[in-house]
Amino acid sequence: MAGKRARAAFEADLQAHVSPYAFYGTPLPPLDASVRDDGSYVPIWKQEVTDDRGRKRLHGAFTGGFSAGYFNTVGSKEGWTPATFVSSRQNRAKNAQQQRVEDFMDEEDIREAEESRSLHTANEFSGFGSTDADPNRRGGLMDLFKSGGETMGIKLLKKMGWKEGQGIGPKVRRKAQLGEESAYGGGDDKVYLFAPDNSPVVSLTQKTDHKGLGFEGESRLGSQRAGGDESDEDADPFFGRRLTGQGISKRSTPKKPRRGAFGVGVLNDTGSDDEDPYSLGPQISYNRVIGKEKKKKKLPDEAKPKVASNPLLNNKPVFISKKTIAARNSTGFRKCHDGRLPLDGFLLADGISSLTISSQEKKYAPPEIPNDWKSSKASSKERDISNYVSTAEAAKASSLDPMSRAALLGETQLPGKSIFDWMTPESRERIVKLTGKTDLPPALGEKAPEGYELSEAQRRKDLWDLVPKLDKQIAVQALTRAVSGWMPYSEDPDKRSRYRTFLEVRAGLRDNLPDRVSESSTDEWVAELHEFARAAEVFKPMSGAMASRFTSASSGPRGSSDETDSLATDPLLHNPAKKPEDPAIAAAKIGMFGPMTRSSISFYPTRLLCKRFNVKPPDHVQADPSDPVKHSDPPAEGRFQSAGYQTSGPKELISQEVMDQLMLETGTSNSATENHKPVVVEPDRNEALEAERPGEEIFKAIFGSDEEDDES
Amino acid sequence: MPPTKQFPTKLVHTLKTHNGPVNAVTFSSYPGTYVLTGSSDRAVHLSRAIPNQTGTSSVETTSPIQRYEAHGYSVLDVAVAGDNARFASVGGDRQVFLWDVEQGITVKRWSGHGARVEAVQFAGQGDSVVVSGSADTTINLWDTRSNSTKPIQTLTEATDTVSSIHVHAPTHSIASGSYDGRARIYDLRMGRTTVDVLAHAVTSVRCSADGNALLVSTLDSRIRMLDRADGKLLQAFGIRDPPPGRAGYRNSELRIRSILAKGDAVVLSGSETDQGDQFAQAYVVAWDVLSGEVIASVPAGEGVKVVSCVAWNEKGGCWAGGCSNGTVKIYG
Repeated sequence: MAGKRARAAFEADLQAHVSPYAFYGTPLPPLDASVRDDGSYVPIWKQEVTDDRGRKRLHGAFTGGFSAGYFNTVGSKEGWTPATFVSSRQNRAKNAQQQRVEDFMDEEDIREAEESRSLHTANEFSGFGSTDADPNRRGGLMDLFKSGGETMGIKLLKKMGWKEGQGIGPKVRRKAQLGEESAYGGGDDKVYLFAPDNSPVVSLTQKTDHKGLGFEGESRLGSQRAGGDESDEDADPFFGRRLTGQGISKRSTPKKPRRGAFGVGVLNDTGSDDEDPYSLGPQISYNRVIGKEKKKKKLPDEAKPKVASNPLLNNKPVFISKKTIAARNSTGFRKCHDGRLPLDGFLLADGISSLTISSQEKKYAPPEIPNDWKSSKASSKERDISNYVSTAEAAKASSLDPMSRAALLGETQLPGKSIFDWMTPESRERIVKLTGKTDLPPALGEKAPEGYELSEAQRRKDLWDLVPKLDKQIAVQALTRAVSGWMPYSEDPDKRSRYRTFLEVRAGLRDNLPDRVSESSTDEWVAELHEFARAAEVFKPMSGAMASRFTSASSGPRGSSDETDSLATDPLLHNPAKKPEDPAIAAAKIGMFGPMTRSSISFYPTRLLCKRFNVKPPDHVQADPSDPVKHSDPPAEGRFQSAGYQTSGPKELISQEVMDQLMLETGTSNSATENHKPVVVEPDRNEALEAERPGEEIFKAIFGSDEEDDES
Repeated sequence: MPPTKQFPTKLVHTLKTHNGPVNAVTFSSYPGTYVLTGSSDRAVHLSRAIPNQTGTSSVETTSPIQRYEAHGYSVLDVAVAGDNARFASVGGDRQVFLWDVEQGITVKRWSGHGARVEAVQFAGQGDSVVVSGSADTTINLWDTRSNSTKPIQTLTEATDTVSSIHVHAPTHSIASGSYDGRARIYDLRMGRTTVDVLAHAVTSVRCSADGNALLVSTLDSRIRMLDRADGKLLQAFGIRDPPPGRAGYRNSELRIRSILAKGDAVVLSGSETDQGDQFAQAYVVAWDVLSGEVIASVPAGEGVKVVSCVAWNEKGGCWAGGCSNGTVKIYG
């Protein structure tokens, strides 16, 4: 059989054979089951609706829905692209992607959000601007370094069942304390199990001024704030106010009218009329009510704090001699809150606090030393400071490494050596750079022990190991392609020849190492070789063309673990995963112009344009509805177009010719008759009409890598 | 005879009619007596390519024969019809104007583009179609014979600014280059569009006279000649290091146009200079098509940073270069 004929010629010939006398109308197709009848009934589910550009009009759910976007724009430049279906069978729960605010922001919004962010400490570091109700806890700059909130100890305690306000320890069996009245009035003798009372925190207030004990100083304007704030003015700006207990916050110093200045301010006005600051004479010297002397100063019993956490502050200082304390401690057998004696060797905190405070107060200004005083105790010998060496410096100066020290100390040698002992400093640097750890042991760069040194052959072998692996078949393929012009680096002949050498080496045609550019380091050489290997791998014709059609499942949604990580670190700086580079662009970048960079799409010039250019419109351009249909010379395929489908068009995955060839190769039912009767040759079967499954070769050609499919 | 000896490098005429950088230069159609220049000063000027009096070696002209002023922004490209009766101009005002050369008025104004229009060419039989490429990523085909305000067709394949268009009449095809790094050739007769990926923004496309090759300038300072049949690289220009003492070709930021000259034997292109270099001056570089060698490198003069466009006149054997300082220099 001669070469393949054009489709139109074949059809015309077929019709002429079968119905030679049909001069009007359309002849019926031959009465042969194997011949396709193009006017035959096509079931509705096989029919396809296309728009004026031959694009499919109706789509399935995965390809964009019924009409596929605004004016069938799905998949085109203007329309959106349907997402690739990624099966969630294997990773079910991970698939639930959370939408973030940033997903709905455009670039401008994201930029604004970025700009509005300001640097501040996390909430738990409540150093500045904290609205903490307890100003006692505030500690100036120090708070920047310690975190507020719950400490680990509190967390642990809470896990063990402790609640805030309770004391620590085993539960106590005692009567319920429902306030003062019920405790006395109600005769309820029931005993319950209670958590122990919180023992007050010992507050150690250092006295640094020379004022008398208990002296409070003038009350100031700011002193009317919440209790315990009075000493804020002498708080250290760095370490915050001095350590004080919560117990002293309710300090009940009786308020006195100011006497330091003239007049009275608004803040001093207490609202009561009986205190007239402008009344003459000292107020105390007169008794206005007879028989009620100094009743005012007595505080009612309830107002007094029940338990003073710090006896020093609330009570009048009473001198307690050490002896009495010791006696009290030794004889009193004071019990703990749970009724047991303190453990052996331990003292009760109350006793200690009084001890420490009394001993603390003994800091007075040292007596002045007379000028002519000389100590009788002279230091025995003046030490020579010049040759003084601190321990740290001595340690630095020592040349002993841990191993020799171990030997000196007589320790047994640890078995084995560290890998760092053999590392060169450069490779250690690299590891430091990679891991980010700077405390790696020093690289000693030890040579291999006797008998294990690298031979010259070994060195060469190492270099060979650096040469990237490439499948021999791929290398051979790339070489054969190179013959037909499939060769990258067309702009750089030297590089091209190096590439060829590399391929030859990997194809087994050469034994020596691949060429390298003169005066290039081994790293550069290896980098270039890797580039070559990638080029040879990537630019297989089939994989290149197919790579754009399929995406790997690994580019689907990321795992939930790193999802949360990225959320936690910086949600606003989230960048979408980079799309894999188009193989055509990659090919163009390395200068491999040709089939890789060339693609062809259908172009639908309008009839008017064709008229202006004075060319016959291409066959796939459908008639303009405005144009009168020319009946005189219908286009060769007019019949098929009117039948409602296109013989050639953009919808085929592979071109008609390839399909034909493959069909011939598969040897379908008529292959035997081909040789004898050219009339019944069936060069193309349309998949849309024949329900048979196409040959295995087609699938292989599409999905498998096929070496003879290069377009040479 | 090698074309090196013949390539004209003698300055014969300097046009100093424009106040702004010259963006487009084109000789009138055969025999190319006149030159049309479009500039950022919003005007198109018609001047004589070679002045009448040929006494001195180099002549300067300061006023054009005709000024065509209708654009509101800089004129970015100019194309002359084959009968020299009309010309088309496009500019930053998103307009496509069709002018009557003699009367100096616009015959048609098309305003269908949504952004700056970068390129314009005549096409079709009797130049009945005006093709314009725009920064709105479309190519519009305008009918000069109807009064329709809409284009005959809009080609939307490009995904970035269409920077250059060349119509090759014998093969009924329209070549276009876009900043998306692709050169597309629309073949009307076959109804196919071939897309060649260049990976870098395309600033100029040009078909050879026989239609077998496509000259493409890209922003990686390269000019490539591709085989139109299969997209293979025939020759690349601007790769080799410049010979000492000569400035190399450079095109990394601006729209520099390249052309084929001397019967497709020479590639001619303007060039830009390093922005940081204060005293650099731009060169016009000519390559031999077959060997790829630089055959001429003509300095554009003191203070010229960019030669953005060049034009070749086959009949007169002269070429023109539009410079960034508003001058147009004609070498013969």
